[in-house]
Amino acid sequence: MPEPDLPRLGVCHAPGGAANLREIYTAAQGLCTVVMLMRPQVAEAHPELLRLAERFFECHVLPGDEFGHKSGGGFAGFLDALGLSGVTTFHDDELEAADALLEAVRRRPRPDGNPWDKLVQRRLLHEAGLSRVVAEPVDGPQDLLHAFSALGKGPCVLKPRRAAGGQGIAFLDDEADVERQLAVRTDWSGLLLETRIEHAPHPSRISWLGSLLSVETVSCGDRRTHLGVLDKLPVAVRRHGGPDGADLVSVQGDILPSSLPPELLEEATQLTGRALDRLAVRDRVTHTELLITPDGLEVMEVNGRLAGYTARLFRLAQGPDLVRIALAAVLGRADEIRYAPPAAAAAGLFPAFPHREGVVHSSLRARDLRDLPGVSAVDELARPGDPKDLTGHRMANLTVRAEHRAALDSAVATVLDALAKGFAEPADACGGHADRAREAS
Amino acid sequence: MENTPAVDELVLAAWCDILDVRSPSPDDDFFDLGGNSLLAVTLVERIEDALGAEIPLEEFFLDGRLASLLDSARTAAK
Repeated sequence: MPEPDLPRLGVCHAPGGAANLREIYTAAQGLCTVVMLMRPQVAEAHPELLRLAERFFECHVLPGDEFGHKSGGGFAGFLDALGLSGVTTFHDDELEAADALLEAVRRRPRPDGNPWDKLVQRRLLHEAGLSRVVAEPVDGPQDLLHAFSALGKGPCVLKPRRAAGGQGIAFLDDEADVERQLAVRTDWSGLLLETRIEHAPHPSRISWLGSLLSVETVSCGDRRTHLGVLDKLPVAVRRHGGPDGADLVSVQGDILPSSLPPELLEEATQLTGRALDRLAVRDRVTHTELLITPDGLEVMEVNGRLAGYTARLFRLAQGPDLVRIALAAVLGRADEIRYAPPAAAAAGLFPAFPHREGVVHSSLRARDLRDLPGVSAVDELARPGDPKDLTGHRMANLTVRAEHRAALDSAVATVLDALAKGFAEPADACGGHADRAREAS
Repeated sequence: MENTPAVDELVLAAWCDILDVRSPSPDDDFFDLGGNSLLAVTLVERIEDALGAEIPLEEFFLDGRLASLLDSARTAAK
């Protein structure tokens, strides 16, 4: 039941966010009374989620679905009746709604420009000397031709200005790739073209680590606390494998804590802090992705919410409750943000099939994986005979835990080896082309 | 149903079936083992249907350990 003396905090919720109902419910205990807010589109598409949420929270469907930048004032009357102290979200698709509602609740305008628009980010970070990447807007075929010329006709990336998890990305190497986009792409709305940065191997030289990192940070007012740096498995890219001209881009796993040397860890948090300063980020947890390059670290993107799986990995590694920290940040409760580095280590692994086509060949059972050292949960395992796209081309989705990073590395290597063997296809066994679809990040 | 071993048996069966695990330990946490909010409701409702009694879902959300669920089920069955 709601606790009467606690502040009321709105959470714009949708399925598939970085925190589920249970995590939000437990995180809010003794801190705030969460009021769930759903856009009409979300509530209509997921009535079961709304029914479940109503068992634990006061829930409201918002009286409109239009949340362009600076449009929260239209909801002032609705919000006044709710008596909220703040609004936040754990879902990328709800960022604009949460920001607009927070602006209306606080009656304090936000800085110009939507900081979650990757084109806005690119321009601000480049102007501030924090990124070498240059970007141009693309809203039609002619824009692509213009942007490709303006960026020097070198390797580029075409991507949506607002999307997460590698959705809708196309890597363009040359004019032939540009021609292909012109021939096959139908949706040109809200894209950008940016220069591509060469990546360098992870300094640890662990073969299964990629070149991306993430830094999880909480900003409470002007104070920033970096909660952790995570390593990543390589991003798997299948050229031309996605819909509407996009490549099929799969993130494959996160590892906490990072095995970067101390000087690079310091560089990662310093760079992230400067990027957040430039984007004027306040009162939220952010997930900033960095790329290891031959010339140092490069900011790839800043996401204005907790990353999926991250709260769970911190929990497994005996770190702080990131969901509670995110709620505390928007309430201005700096006293709740007590940083303690995770005492253990944890990984979330969701490796993609080397071959994306066809059906699953495997005799691997979830119980076999659970019996491996360190495996704490197997959330998903591709089943024999099913189309590979049924699991988003993932072989499995599991979490691994160990007392320290060296033990975790050993456990992760064992799991990846078991998956490779368990899902081996006839072409793999005779030295086939399993890695042809895979590229490093 | 008031027979404690029978209550435990049905809770363990539902737990193992929904999480697809063998040999659960009392300290296992449903949510650390991959359970989510919807699966938690499925588990609790399955036990409630078998017992004909209500188990507080909020308590299970706050403490997802098997031992706590067993306690709740035993209490509900009395």
